[in-house]
This record gives sequence, structure tokens and C-alpha cells, in this order.
Amino acid sequence: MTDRRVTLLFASITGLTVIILVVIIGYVMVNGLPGLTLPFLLESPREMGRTGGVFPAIVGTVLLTGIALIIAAPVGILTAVYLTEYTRDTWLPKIVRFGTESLAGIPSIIFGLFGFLFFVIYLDLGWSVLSGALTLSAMILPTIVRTSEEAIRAVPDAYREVSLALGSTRWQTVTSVVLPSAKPGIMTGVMLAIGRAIGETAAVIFTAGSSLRLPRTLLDSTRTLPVHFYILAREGISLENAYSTAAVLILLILAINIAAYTIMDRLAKKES
Amino acid sequence: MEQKNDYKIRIDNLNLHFTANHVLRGINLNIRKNLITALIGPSGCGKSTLLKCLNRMNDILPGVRIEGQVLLGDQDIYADTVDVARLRKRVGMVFQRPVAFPISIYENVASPPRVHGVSHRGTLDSIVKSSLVRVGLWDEVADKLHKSALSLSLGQQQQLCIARVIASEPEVILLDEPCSALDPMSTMKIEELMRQLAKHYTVVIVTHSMQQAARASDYTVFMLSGEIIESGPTGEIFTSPRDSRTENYITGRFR
Repeated sequence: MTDRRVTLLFASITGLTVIILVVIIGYVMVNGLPGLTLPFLLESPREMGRTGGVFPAIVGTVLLTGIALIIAAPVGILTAVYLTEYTRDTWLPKIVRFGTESLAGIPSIIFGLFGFLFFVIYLDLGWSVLSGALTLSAMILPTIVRTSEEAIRAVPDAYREVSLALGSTRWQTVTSVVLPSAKPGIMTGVMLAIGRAIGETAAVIFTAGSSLRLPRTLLDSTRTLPVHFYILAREGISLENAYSTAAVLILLILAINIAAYTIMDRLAKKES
Repeated sequence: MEQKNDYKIRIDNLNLHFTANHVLRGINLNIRKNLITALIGPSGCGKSTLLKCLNRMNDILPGVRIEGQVLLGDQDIYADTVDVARLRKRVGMVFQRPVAFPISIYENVASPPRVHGVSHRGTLDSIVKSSLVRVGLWDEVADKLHKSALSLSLGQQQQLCIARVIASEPEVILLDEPCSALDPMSTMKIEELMRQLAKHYTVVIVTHSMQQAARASDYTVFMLSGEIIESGPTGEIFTSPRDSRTENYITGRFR
């Protein structure tokens, strides 16, 4: 094949990918945006969500994802530091890596089942924000460990050597040189984890429940946006509102991504 | 004539084994204060390893065994009570390839004092400035201190690395082939800089280049297969070497 044909082939394949994305997002937006009004964002649902808004579900989504991240990000990043900086040439990282890889591939409903049995029943946390967040944190932990490990491993050894030669201890080397250099990679992993957690249905419906009320404590049940539109659509309550809820979720993810990358850009600019 | 006090570092019967290899054999060497000592010899002769014995950078390699004594001033740096991080603050090192951290120029130079507990902004500012002035980089970077250090040329990055070492106020500066990645102009700059540095610090340089050793050092140590063959004032070594192997090496008969 000539170069031109290959280029054409790759261009069309890429085009196909873009079209699929645009069609899916476009379809949701076209159907969802008309119902997406300010009251829809700020009001509580009425009649099971047939009318009213999705405010409690937005709060539930943000709470669940946020708390899951607060738990999983430090644990995941520190685990990655330990595996790469302190136990590099031993069997431990290999075993943990095998474990995290396997965990990352497990369907989320398994995490849901585990969360239900362990957090909801055994620890008696009930259907609650806390149960849901703990389950989600367990689910995204492997992703964070894995991507952080990659990012830390990619930091050149010369940096570590120089830092030690400048009289830093190992821990100072980690905090002052290794982690700052690995920051963009770690951030990407965290963003992936947020994406996974925020759109999660199966793991959440078993553990956080599906209450439509605004959660007042961490032990209240709540409903996330994906669970909300799953129920709206499945039970035939309101397809229009299901689309609008989906649109809210997509816009929320978009907003988080833009915010994260703007912050990263700012940080990078400050340094360059 | 010569006093014990003239010596900054005294190495006594130092042997280094790396797994099954006897890399350094019975090294005895005194390194003079506030002068430039060059370690020369063919690749694999152990000159870099010897250099790294002076700030214990060999410690981080598994399978290294070191015997003998290295005195910095009056302190045995291999004693059990030595804080290695503190030692490396006193004995700074510049590497073959300039390794600037991917952070700002300012932060690169400020990082050693920060690590050693300086947090006052004004103090840091003055350390950064004086270090950059001392390596002759200040005028070029004064208006872009907060730009990434990676935006500098390789030669400037190496100057920055030296400034970073100076920022931790060392007593000895070790340079491991500091010019091998640099162009001739930058090399000249670094050599002039070494001359300046020797006023304040004891400088030890490993170099591949005979000309560099001849131009830029006061004392020269010639090594072969892990042993010191000959050492003395640079002028003597290069004009009237006592050992034929030294003569062969400096005249380029073998590398």
C-alpha cells in the first residue's frame, strides 16, 4: 500500500471514532438539553422524578465521588511510592501489581456485591453515602495505584541520584523531586479514576441505595445521577428527565475535566 | 613543608569490591584543600568509583563492599555514626550530564537549602542569588528565575547544577566528567568556573580529557585498573612522569 492510502485508512478510522463519540454525546444532548433548566438543576425531584429536578442526585454524585477520592487517592499514591521507591527489586511489587491489575479488570458489580455484604450488612453502615464511597474507593484504588506507579517509574533515575547527592534523604527525594516530576501522570490517573467513579451505577446502587432525599449525614442513603437516570428509564418514569439527567452528568464530567486541566496548566505555566 | 592541615581529604588503604570484582585496590591519597585535583585514567580504571567514595554515592548500589578509611577533615566518613545526608551536604557532586529538575530555575537552586531546613523566603532569595552569581549565571537568568530550568542550554544547565551544589554550602565539590556532554564554549566556561570555585572549595574532578586535566587542575592523579599509579602536581605529571604507564597514557599511546 502506498503512504497515501495508509494515511487515508488511518484518517477514516479516526474519523469513525470521532463520529461515534459525537453521535452518542450529541444524541444525549439533543434529547436532554431542552429539559435542562436552572430549576431542573436546583430542585428536588417530585413524583419519583417525573417532575422536579435532580439537585439531590448531583449532591449525592459529588459526595460519593469526592469522598471515594479523598480515601483512595492518598492510599493509592502512597502505595505506588512504596512499591516503586522502597521495594523496587523485590517480589512485593510484582505480587501487588498482579493484584491491582486483576482488581482493575473486575466488573464493578462485583465491587457492588462486596460493598453490600461488607459495608452495608457486616459493618452495618446501611445504604449510605459512606458505604457507597467506601465501595467506590475500593473500586478506583487499583487504577490509581497502577497509573501512579507508571508515572513514578517514568521519573529518570538520574533525578533520584542527584537529589541524594545533594544531601536529601530518601523521603525528601520522594517529596521534593519524584512526586513533583510524576505529578502530571498521577493527575491523569486520578482523572481516570474520577471518570470511573462518577459514572458508576452497579457498585453504587447496592451500597448507597436510591433515596431521592438530600443526604444530611454520611449515613443517609442517596442516589447518584447515573442511578437516577437508570431508574427513570428502566421504570418508564420519564425518558425526557432521564436524558436531561444524563446531560447533567456529561456536563459535570466535562466541567471536572476542564477544571482539573486548567489547574494543571496554571501550575505548569507558573513553572515554565 | 607540607602540613597535615593542607589536606581536606585523606584516603587510607581504601578497597572497594563490587560483587566479585575488586574495583579499587589499596588506594592511598591525600587531597589538598582549596585546590583542584584531577583524577585521570582510561575508562573503567575506577576513577569515577573513587570519586563517588568521597560522598558515599556507591552506598546506594547493592553488592558494594568498602574497606579502609576516608577522612574528611578529621571525620571518618564511613563511621557508623555518620549521617550520610549531612555528609553529602558537605561534599557536593556534579554529574556527567546536567540534571536540572523539571521545575523553575529558582526552585532548582533553592531545593538543597529547603531540604536542609531553610524556609525563610528572604534567606532563600539571597542564597539563590549568590549561588547563581558565583557560577556566573545570574545575569543571564535574573529575569527568568521562575521559568523552567529545562529552557536553559545544556551548558547553562550544568552551571545551574553547580549553583545548586553551591547552594548547600559544601566544603568539597566533586565533578564527574562535568564537560563531557558540553560544547567547547561551555567547557571553557566550566573550567574558568572551577578556577573560581577553588578559591572557596576543595575541588575534585574526574575527566577523560588530558587537555582539561593539564589546563584546569593543580594536582593530577593517574589511575589504572583500580590502582593509583602516580600522583603529583599537574605540571610534573604532564612534563616528567615517573612511571612509563603514566607517560604512555598522557601521550595518548593507550586509552
